[in-house]
Amino acid sequence: MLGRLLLLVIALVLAAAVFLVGRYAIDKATRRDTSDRPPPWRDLNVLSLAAQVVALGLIVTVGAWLWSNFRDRTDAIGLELTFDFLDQPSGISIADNPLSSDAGIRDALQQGVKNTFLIILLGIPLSVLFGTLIGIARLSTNWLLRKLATAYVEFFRNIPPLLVIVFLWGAVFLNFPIGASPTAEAAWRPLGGWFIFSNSRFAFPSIIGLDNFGLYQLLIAASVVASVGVWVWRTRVFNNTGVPHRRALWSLATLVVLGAAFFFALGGPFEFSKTTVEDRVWSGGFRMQMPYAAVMSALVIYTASHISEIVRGSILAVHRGQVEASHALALNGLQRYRFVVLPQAFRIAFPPLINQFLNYTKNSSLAVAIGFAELTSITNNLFGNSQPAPQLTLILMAVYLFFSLVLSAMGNLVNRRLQLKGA
Amino acid sequence: MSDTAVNADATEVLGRGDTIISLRGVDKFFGDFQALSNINMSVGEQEVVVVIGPSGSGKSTLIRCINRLERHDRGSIVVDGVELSDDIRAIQGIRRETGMVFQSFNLFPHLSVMDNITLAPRNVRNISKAEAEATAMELLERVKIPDQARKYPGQLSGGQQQRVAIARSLAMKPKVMLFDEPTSALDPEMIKEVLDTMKDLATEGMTMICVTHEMGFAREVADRVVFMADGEIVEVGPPEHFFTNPTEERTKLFLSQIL
Amino acid sequence: MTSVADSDPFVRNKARDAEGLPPSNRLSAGEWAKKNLLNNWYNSLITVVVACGMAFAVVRTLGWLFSSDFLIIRRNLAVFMVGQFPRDELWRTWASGYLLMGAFGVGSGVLWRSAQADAEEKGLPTEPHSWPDLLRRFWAIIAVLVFFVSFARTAPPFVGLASAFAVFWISRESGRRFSAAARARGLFFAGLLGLLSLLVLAGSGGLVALTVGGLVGAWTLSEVRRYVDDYVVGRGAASPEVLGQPQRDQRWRLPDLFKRPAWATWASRAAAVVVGAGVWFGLRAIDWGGYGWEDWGGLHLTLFVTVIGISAGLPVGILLALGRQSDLPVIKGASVIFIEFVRGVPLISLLLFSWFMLPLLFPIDLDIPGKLTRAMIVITAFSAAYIAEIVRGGLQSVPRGQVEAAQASGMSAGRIQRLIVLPQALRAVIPAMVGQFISLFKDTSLLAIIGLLDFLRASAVANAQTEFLGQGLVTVTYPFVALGYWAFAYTMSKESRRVEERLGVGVR
Repeated sequence: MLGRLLLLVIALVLAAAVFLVGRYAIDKATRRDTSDRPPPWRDLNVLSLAAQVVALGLIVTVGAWLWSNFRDRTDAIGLELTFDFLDQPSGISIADNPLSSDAGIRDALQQGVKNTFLIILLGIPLSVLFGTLIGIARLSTNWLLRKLATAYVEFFRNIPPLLVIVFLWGAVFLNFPIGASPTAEAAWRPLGGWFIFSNSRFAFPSIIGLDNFGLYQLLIAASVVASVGVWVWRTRVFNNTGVPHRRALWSLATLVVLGAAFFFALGGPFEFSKTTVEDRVWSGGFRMQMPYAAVMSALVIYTASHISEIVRGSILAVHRGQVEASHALALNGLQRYRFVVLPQAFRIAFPPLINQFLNYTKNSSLAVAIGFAELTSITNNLFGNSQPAPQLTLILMAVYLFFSLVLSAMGNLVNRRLQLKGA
Repeated sequence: MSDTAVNADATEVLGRGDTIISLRGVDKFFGDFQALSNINMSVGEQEVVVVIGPSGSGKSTLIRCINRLERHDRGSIVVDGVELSDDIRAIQGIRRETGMVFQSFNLFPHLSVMDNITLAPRNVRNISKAEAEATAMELLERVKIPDQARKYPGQLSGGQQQRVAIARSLAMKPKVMLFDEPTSALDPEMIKEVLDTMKDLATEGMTMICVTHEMGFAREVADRVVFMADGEIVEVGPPEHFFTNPTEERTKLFLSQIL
Repeated sequence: MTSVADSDPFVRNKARDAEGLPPSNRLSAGEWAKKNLLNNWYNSLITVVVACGMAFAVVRTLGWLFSSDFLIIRRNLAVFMVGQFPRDELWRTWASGYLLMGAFGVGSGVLWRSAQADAEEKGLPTEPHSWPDLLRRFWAIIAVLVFFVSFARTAPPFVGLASAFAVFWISRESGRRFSAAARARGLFFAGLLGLLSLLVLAGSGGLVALTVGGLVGAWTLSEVRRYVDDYVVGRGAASPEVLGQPQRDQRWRLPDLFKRPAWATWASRAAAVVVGAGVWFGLRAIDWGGYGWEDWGGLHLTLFVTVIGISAGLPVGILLALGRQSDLPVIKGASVIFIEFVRGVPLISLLLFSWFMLPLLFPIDLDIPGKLTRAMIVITAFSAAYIAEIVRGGLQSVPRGQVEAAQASGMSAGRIQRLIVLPQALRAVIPAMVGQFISLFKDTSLLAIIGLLDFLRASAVANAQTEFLGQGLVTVTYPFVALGYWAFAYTMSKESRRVEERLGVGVR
């Protein structure tokens, strides 16, 4: 099969060569004007085509060779190259998940993708927040804070993220009080038990809707609209009269007042839910498995050290002349940052930030080291259960490629809007 | 010959020898924009042609087509008997015989002045290092900066850099020199030294095509002045005629703006 | 200006600080504290809070340091450093270490020498390279290495480390004796020492011996040619007279083949082949024994994989970058697809690929190479893709006019890339390349996930020993490992910033 393909390619190339040279020879022999048709071995067009054909031939040949090796090997071990195995039971159980070990592989993989997504969803905003704070701390006038932030960045930037994950998991979180007891009585419960930290799960308060919760949500949405309206109104007042707008304060106040008013008017449409542990079953509140908490917080710690460098670098990169110009316009400190430095710094910071988000997404796969059931670790388990490697590898890579492409497409879209006109 | 009327036909050679460059019906497009339309022009051996015109008129494109930095779309360009086509031998041959000096010097910043000058002779003409360096020193004397041979381009003034660039082109012993606005990026006090170098070259009988805004240079040195606008050759003539008695409206307008 | 700077609550700015300083430029401790710690109410608050937090952390760290039992590290120091390398063959690692230190020493000495000549030529200030200066730059690595060795139970490792530093220093001093003109020879010599260190470690089998033989052969070739050029053809002597000054920058390169008597060319080639083959056969005949990389481990493996990953990835990456910049759609398309694919998936998925999938791609009648070899294949591809993007940035930073000027003088496309574009592009991306090196160094920790005994997994191995099982001693081993990673990565990133600053004041 391979040999035949190769022969075909060679034959085609030879035919083309014979045609070109033959044409040139005939042109010569019949003394036609050949000034615009140089001999093929010197013609730029022919040469560039030839280079591409050779490159393509090389790629195809190597690809075909690998494919034939692959077929030989898979035939030898009787591996079927179909996706039917997705319906078989996965044989792995996922912690904190209703899936049992005889649920299908398809479901297990879907659960994995979901968990990967969960790591990204909570982790990226937290990294940005944390990283920005540290970046600003690095520019602080306070010597101690500055040095502390620098030490943080210089340490975490220079150790592997995997080490941060396993350290947080194995040396910190696992040493938390034991949670795997009937009522988790040993767990650390600060703030009157609203928070629970144990070595198996973390729990935080959450909101549970009661009667009228649906209505309340609608009303909150309406309040948001109202506060946006207030924002617009204050802006207009500022534009028309020059009275300070204080629009952030105004719209926030609107939101809080309306939210509180509706809350009482509807007789308490929601309540805060506290996690309780009975018979080893954790219920209520917002619960995290410890491995999830470990992966996420480790990646946040690691990524924040990179993001802080981006934040700091882009603030410093805003040209000094810009700051001087705003001094000359007598803008005060806050106004200078709000109107001149930050908008420009954000433009500079955005592309590398997207890069960090991509890195974060790819690093989420490190959860495999501590067995949090995201995509990579589930795939790894399936490899271990001798499920077919080629198809699983394909799925694994395709999902990450998809995540990467979507993220960078979104990033490019925003970036295009952000860039200065004419710049 | 001095009688020649000013007209739009640039094919009549004014030089002291045979035709060395000839363009016939050359068109060049950038996408939908026609940068050159139906250019007919010939240059004789030892002739100095100065091309002038408003920016965007296609002057630079014209000389960049002559050494194939841009590919022309229609028409024929013949340099020293070789027709420019997709034949790489023709392209390399023509590039070997033509030197080019750029507006932004384009010296190689990672190489010393000496290495800048000897690079092409050694790698293209396969001349030995000793011979190439001897030639380079001669050329540096000629452009009056022999003491800068070991320096790097970043250490030289703009005028010195441009003179090195001229020496670099001459090192290939070209038959034709193309100048693409060689003084536009220079500070006023440095323009003269470069123009003097170019004048010396012209006196020594080098065939030159210069795109420039230096009207004084054109008046003094050019055998012929070519005025271009909107990708066309509008008017051609000897400088005294051209500057004193232009016939075309566009030429008059242009001259009134710059003089 | 001072009042403006003081009223600026958020951002400290170096230049502004300088303006704000009193003329004397010296502050008393009290003034300094007032300016930097207590300049307004919230900064005072931050100072107090941070100071309390730091005091707490310091107390806890000291408590940990004095309460922890470091027996696990003392017992397993060799595991952390060299993994499962056979214990009675440890002399190989030491010997190879000395050779490597020698290679580093010669290399850095030669580079220092040529950097100094370069700086003189361009009229830049030269860098001081004194003991204290080197200590300031490399304190982290030196301190951590000394700290590591302090866990050894016997004296020899101390002696070993001290003599390794001594070897480094001596070869550095001898490297500085190489003239700037002979710097390529010096680097070649350093490379040869590096290869010899591999030879001691991995033995005379196959590839290493062939490489050493080939390199010695190539060296012979160039020496013979130099001799012919200088004394037979007399070409090398001609140019100084022309210039009227001593010629200092006679670069070492394989001289071109056309201007020399044919017999000399062929004689030098024959000499090279004979010497190269002789070295190879000699090495085969001696048969050193030795252990291939599948048996390596620990910090040694981590460093080695990084170096191989970058040096094998560099040429591939440059080709990919050129491919991506190409005008030919097929070549461009193939490069783009490869680069974007590799960069779009996590390294783990590639390592899993090398573990489970790669064996299926080898011909059926061929033995499947070991796990590390397979991992190296994907790591090379991985770093090549990232290097390609870095190099592309460098290529784009070379102005279009550079290529045009070279084209206008009739140079061929290959020569334009090799002599004009790549030298400028690669020079511009040195800092980014060091960044990639650091990043790969950290990424090699993923080898632990596919079960290779690298520096990170040594910690798990130690904790799985019956003596230490289930005692939660990762609180001791992980910080130890972290320190090792940190020292190397931190020093390299500091060095890259230095290079960046130096490049900034360069010729461009």
